[in-house]
Amino acid sequence: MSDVPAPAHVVRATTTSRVLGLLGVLLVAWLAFLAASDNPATQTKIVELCVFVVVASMWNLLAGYTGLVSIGQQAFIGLGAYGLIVFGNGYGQDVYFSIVPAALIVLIASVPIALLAFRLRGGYFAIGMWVIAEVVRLLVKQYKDDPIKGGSGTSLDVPTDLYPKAERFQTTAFIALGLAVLAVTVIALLLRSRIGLSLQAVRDNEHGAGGLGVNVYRERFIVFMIAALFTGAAGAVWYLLKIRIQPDTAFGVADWTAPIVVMVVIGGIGTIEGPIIGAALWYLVRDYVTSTDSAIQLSDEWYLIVTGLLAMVVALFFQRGLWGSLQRHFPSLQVFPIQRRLVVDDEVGDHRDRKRST
Amino acid sequence: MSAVIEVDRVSKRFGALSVIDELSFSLEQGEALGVVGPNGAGKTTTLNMIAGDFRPTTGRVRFDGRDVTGLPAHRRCRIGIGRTSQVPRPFDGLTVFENVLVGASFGGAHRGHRARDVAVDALRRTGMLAKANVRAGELTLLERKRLELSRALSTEPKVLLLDEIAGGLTEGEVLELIDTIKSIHAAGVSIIWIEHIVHALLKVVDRMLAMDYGRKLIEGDPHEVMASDEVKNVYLGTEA
Repeated sequence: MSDVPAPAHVVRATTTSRVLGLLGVLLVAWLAFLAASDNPATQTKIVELCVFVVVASMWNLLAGYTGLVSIGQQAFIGLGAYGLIVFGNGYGQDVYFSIVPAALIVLIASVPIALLAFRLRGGYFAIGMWVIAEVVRLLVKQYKDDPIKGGSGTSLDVPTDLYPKAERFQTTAFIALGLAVLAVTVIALLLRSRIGLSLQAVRDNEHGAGGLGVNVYRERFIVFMIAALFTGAAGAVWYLLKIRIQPDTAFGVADWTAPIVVMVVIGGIGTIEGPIIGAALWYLVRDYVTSTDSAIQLSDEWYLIVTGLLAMVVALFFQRGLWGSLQRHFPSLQVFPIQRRLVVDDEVGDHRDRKRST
Repeated sequence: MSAVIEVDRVSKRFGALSVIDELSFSLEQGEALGVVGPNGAGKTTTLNMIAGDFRPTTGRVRFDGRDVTGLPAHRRCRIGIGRTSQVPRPFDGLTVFENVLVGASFGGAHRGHRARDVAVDALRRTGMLAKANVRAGELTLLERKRLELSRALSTEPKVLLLDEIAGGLTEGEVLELIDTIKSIHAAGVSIIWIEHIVHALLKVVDRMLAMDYGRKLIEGDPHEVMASDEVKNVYLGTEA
């Protein structure tokens, strides 16, 4: 290139992102404080919320950023959960530690699944992933021996002398919160990076990204593996709390991917904040309508039906969801400083920002 | 003289429909080649096969003497084939700067400061620097066309493929764009430019290729090609 460009630098964080980021840290601290309390009901809610924050964020990373709409993420939930059973019950490992090999098994399993599913595009990929999840579920049901015990399911072995109940709830709540923070941090760092730039490009125009040198297949593969790893870990954490596991629920599309899609669509697809807000709202409202003293009473099934309809309305008329619509009106609104703002020094003359240049 | 792009007896069929039929031509190093022809002549299809959007049914495409027929689009971009699309393909959610940074980081394979500088340079050369922090979704048509050009430049191409980059612009905007493309050409970039606005082509290109029904009609000096009976016949429907 012939010209010598004028000095320019890139600014990432904004005042809004610093303030909102601080609020986010306070929110996590508050959740950690709640997790430390001796209230199993609160700890259960924290685990459920955090698990869904992880899986919804990961589904959004796939669907919202790389255009891979999967309705088979329950395959990774179930594999992570049964990984926990195999390492905990089968090999007698510490149940907390068993999350790690369980998640790694899911990571390895995601490679052949991706090789198979990536041969399909768009809607065919979505259905293909569902079919894969069903096949895995049926295979697990065929394994009738210990420690899987086929379709009737089994329970995670947590003898109370080794794992006192109060302690297990507290530890699980901390693990779930830690996993959620780690998952969102990984997503934010990924999207902030060079790869993240290309993921956002793929999100907006796949062919345009390929034409600018982005290897769309490879980027998708990486993201698919990251999503599988965290979704598997989340599945294991869930059953650390629930103990009782059956293939039909661990691999159930209505138990997992259906609510995930609802959360992400309502919260705002293609944003980091959207799935977190969607998952939080989903749980807050569900808590209200299923509690005995509320004005509106809904069973879990009816709740999914009503929120599903709501998600359809959002998808039709507010495609960006809650957070995306807010961002449209307040363009500087971002918790995670992903955007790059270019400051050309000689033209803007803003030299104070220079120390923050990248 | 050495050819930087060689299209060697390339054919493209979609099922029973033959779009390109045994087409051969080449682009010399540093040359600007104009491509004209009626709608459906196969101009964009030809460009897509050079850029790697799809592969020819038969025939080879060579770049710098190397057979690139089997390379996917992103690999061809990295070795130096940049392109703009007839319908701009901006990343609406990203800013103009971030759009161009994608090209510099991946097509140009730069990192950090170097990627930033290449992106800034591409914006400057296409007059888009002032719009750097605007989201691409908010741009006007001329700005989207300029962004398309910026992005192609940010990949630091040896060959630039332009697909109706002037289409839909006002006369004044076309003249501005001609100046930009001339300066890119003057910097040593070889160009293949498909365009319906013939006077724009005539101001830039060294050679003209006229196509019809997926075949080469005539090629040579731009003014002679445009004055030839073959081209008049295709455009005006007169008997040769």
